[in-house]
Amino acid sequence: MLEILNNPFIVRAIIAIVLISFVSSAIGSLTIFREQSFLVAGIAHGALAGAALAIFLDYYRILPEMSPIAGATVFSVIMAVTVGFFSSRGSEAHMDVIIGITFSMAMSLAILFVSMIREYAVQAWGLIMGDLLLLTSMDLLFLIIISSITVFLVTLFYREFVLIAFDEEGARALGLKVLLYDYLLLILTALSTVVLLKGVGAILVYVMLIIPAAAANKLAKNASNVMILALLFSLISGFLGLILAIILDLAPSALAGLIATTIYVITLMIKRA
Amino acid sequence: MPGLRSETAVDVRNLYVSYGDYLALENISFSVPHPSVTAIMGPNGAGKTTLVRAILRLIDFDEGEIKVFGLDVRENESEVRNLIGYVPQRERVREHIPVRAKDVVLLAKMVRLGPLSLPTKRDIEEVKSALKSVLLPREAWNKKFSDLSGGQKQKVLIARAIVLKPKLLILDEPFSGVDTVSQREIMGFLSKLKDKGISIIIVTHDINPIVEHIDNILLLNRRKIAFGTPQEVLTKENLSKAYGISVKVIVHGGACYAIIGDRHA
Ligand SMILES: Nc1ncnc2c1ncn2[C@@H]1O[C@H](COP(=O)(O)OP(=O)(O)OP(=O)(O)O)[C@@H](O)[C@H]1O
Ligand SMILES: [Mg+2]
Repeated sequence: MLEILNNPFIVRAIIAIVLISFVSSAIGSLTIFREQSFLVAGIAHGALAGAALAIFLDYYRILPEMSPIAGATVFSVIMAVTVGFFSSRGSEAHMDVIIGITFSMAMSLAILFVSMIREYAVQAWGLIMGDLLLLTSMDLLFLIIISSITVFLVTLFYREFVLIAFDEEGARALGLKVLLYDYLLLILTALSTVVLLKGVGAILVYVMLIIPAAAANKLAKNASNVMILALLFSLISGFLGLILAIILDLAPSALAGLIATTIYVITLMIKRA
Repeated sequence: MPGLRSETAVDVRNLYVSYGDYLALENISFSVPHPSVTAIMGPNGAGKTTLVRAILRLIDFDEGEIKVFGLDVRENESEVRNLIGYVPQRERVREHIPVRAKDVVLLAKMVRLGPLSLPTKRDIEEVKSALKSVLLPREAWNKKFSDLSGGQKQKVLIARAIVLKPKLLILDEPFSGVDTVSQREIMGFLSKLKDKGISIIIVTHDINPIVEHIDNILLLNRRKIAFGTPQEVLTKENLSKAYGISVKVIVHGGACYAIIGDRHA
């Protein structure tokens, strides 16, 4: 069993699962606190659109060497900032509409760009389903950088983020620059969806970013425990998924998603009992 | 910090606040001496929360001037915020976030100290003494905020404001959903804060249970209807001007008590 660790693709997959777990516990818990999980789905499709566009531009030599990850990063950040800009000028009810519109737009763009790269079915497929077992060293380096930045900043400002989520007006009265933190969180959320997009694919970004934190939120007594439990749930889902995938020759991200949702259902039952 | 030049806690001059086209407050002037307990009263939509938000600079105002302890709030935003403890309307707090009662208080303390600070023994002691001073029972300290009763939640939010040692405490409807016994208990320790040199401003619908602790009342309905002692303000004429003619007024011990349900203006 241990000789599979000689396979660099497996080792990279393992590292990616650890990165995904940290990112998803950090951003997932804050997203749950802010009740903005729909936003994550929207940004994930924005990232998908960006990645597909990058492949297209590369294919037609319009922007050669444009990597899908770079495209995803640019697109998802633009989308997050746009949502932030419009929502800062509207009411809370407004926010739903804005996210709804950007979500639909991102989804349509994603389908448009993916359809334009049909010749590259494998790459398109990888973006949608994830290619955890096909990561290159460059991919991994990029994921390590984005994840470290995200986890570092969330840890540094965790109290501020929690206070703003708990009571925005109180936070502003304390002198916090809420708008700045909102933008920071939006951008970090965008970066995390890119990490997850590469690992588990566009379809499962939402599941792996939100579900572990949602389950943790049901059980934990305080905000930092939500983060720790979410990390644990992500690691369990990721590694169990990977092991089962190797044994059964199935997609690791799909299995991880199924395990995560199973954990969520179990927490619901524990809470009911 | 510039010196505290005045012993007036809040001085509002000719204040106009609007949301878009809607003029929410029109030509409001009043002055709150320090230390004192002031109630802001008025029907739903009268602009009570708007006034509080303007004092805290959570919203901008069109015209006029607000000074807190002599400091212009527009020019000294952060100094003014350091002087004020704010207890927002409880409905504005997102309760699905798991935070223990004592952590709610500690969170505010630590956020004020900045991102890189770690809680010291002294910070923890201050949190405990804030929770004690609002008479929150010890067994509630470790409970999740969402598991507390309405009155206990209110106490935690007040503790969170006073742990920062403000000179002025502003509470927006602290008594909604709080039973009369707890209202009296909360009002009791609020007036003790006044004795320690903290001015209190309370936004409230129902003045009756707390009227004996109130020094001044500001009666609002978009405009200032009256400002002064309870005896001066709580007249039948003022109350009907603020609430409409349907208000019932009972005269007792020289003061008028208004019987006001939660009705819309
Ligand atoms: N963000 C906003 N945008 C537009 N109008 C607003 C906004 N906030 C308040 N208003 C309007 O301003 C008026 C005053 O509102 P405010 O919340 O200050 O009243 P209030 O006296 O606190 O009422 P309540 O007793 O219901 O809390 C209301 O007519 C309200 O509809
Ligand atoms: Mg109000």
